[in-house]
Amino acid sequence: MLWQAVVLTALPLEAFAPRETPFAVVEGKTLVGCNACAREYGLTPGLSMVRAAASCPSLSFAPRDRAAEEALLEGLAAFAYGFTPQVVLRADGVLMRFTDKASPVGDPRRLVASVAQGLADMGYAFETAMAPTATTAWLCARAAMRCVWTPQDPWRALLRPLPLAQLPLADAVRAACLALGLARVGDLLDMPRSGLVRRFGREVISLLEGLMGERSEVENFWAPAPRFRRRLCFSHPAETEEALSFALARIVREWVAVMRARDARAGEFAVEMRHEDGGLRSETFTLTRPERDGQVLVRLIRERLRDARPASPITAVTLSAPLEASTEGSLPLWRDGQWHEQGFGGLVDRLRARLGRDAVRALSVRPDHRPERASREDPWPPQGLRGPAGAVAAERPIWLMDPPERLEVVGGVPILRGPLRLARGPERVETGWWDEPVVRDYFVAVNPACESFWVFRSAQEEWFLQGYFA
Amino acid sequence: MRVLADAWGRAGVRRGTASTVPTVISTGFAELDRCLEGGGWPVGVLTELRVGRAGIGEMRLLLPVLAALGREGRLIWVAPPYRPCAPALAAHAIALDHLVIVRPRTHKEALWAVSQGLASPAIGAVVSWFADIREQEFRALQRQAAAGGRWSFCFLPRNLAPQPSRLRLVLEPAPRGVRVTLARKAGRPVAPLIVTL
Repeated sequence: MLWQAVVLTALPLEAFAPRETPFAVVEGKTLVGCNACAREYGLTPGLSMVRAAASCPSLSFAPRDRAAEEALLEGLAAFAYGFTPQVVLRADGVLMRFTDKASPVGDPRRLVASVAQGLADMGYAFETAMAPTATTAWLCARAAMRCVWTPQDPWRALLRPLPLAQLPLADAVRAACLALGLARVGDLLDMPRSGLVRRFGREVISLLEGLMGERSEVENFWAPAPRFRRRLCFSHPAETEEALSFALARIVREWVAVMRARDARAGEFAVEMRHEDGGLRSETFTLTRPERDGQVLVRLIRERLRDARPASPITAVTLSAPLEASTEGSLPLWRDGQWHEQGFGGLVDRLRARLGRDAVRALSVRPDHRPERASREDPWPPQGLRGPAGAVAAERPIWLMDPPERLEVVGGVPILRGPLRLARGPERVETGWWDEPVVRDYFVAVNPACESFWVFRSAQEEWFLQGYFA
Repeated sequence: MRVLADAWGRAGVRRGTASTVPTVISTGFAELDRCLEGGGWPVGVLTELRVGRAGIGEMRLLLPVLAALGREGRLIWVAPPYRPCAPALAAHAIALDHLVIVRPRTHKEALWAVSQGLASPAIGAVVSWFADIREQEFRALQRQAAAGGRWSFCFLPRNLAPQPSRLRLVLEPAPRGVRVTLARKAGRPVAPLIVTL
């Protein structure tokens, strides 16, 4: 059995959108995280707020966001789930268990490298280590040892020279050990266990047993959520489009990693933006075909958000999407027709993202004798009949007027930029008695300027323009 | 000669004098083909069509070429002035499920939609309607049409200032047809002609 531990070393900071100016996350009155800019001023976690502000006057603070951290860890667990179904969630990282049955390991070094690559792609600051027991792996990752120990390695011997300060012991216990002259893990292991129990209690023994793999480490394994949901708070409300798209790109990177791990694709998702004035703007995206390409997704979101200037600065942005396993394969490279189809689907998605769903429309033919109802223009994709419905009269204009436009009549002759000459007709259209009785005589009419129209005479002897023979 | 050229085209024979890449597509009207350089609508050119009023046969002039291009690729119509009549288009052999109508809210959105269509490899032809367009906007679309290698047609009002297009047709009503003036074209000038529809 092998365990890989991943510790996020800057978790409190990761929960906020990255900034270019000194920035720190505080809990109580103490710093729990600070960015690279702040570190240049000599700030480190553990410093008090007062001292930090004194040494770096331009420093900005934000209180720790536990909820965002939990969401981030969920994302990390989902990413780890792509490597093994046995994932344990810890307070600032995850543990992944590899057994030969559940998840064939292969070369452990390559496995660790590919996990590290994925984490680096998502932009996390992390430490990772692999060892035969969970406690050891966690300890090594915490100690930033970057080790990959398999059961074949002399890992028990390698563990012995580690300083006792690395062990998660209570301060009183650690001080007592040092007073006894026990400075390293090996020293503690050499002591008789019964004496240790009497002095320090069961916790120390169970820690040592876990470390050495002498007891089974039963952990509660993480169960994947059916949705991806990630919220990113801005430590400073985002007013520019760049700041917003930077944050969104980061969320999408995580999302794509999770989708890869779960073999899911995005078919529908929502982006929510909370404004400083309390307003909430929500945008829903529907794709013509499920997508997993991060660049395509970012472009879609950008197209939608481009024209809408935020009314007030944005304080938080949330992306949520269902995670459904998709049976849709990757792009077929060899079929030209399919490529065209894909390219077209992408175009429709882009158009809909920027212009709105209603702006992209398709035509269809309905079996109705009333011309204005026989032709439908609905939001894409096309529905209903696409070809001609039965016998279509050849004499139909290209452009339809809906509703028909009433024409002026002089001496019984309809007028449209001059008196109309009725070239062909009448064609009697009489239908729709079940909802709106219609009796119309249609004519092809031409005016003196040789423009041709489709006009009809109603039962009340009124004349209407129905369309243009464009 | 025509038969021979067709046979060569089908066999994929490369001839020294002509490129194998089609640079024009027949308009579907022999008299108009004869007047256009190369014998049809040129590819990669934003063809400017000037129409005074709807109802003079301006669409029937384009429908043969759109039907041909819509069989393989998709057609995108940006901001048509009225509602297209689906049965009429179907009767003119337009594949309705290959036709996308875009209804932009603003001029900027319309320009963007046209440029997206021009850049997409899945599109056979882009047809757009503008009530007004600035010269640099037209130039930008013209550049994209040239880069994308699509057929594109742009309807503009008759009285708008001239645009820097490579091919401009002024359409006027005529009995049983449409009077076409090739106001701007490659090659020698030709007299206005009447295309029977």
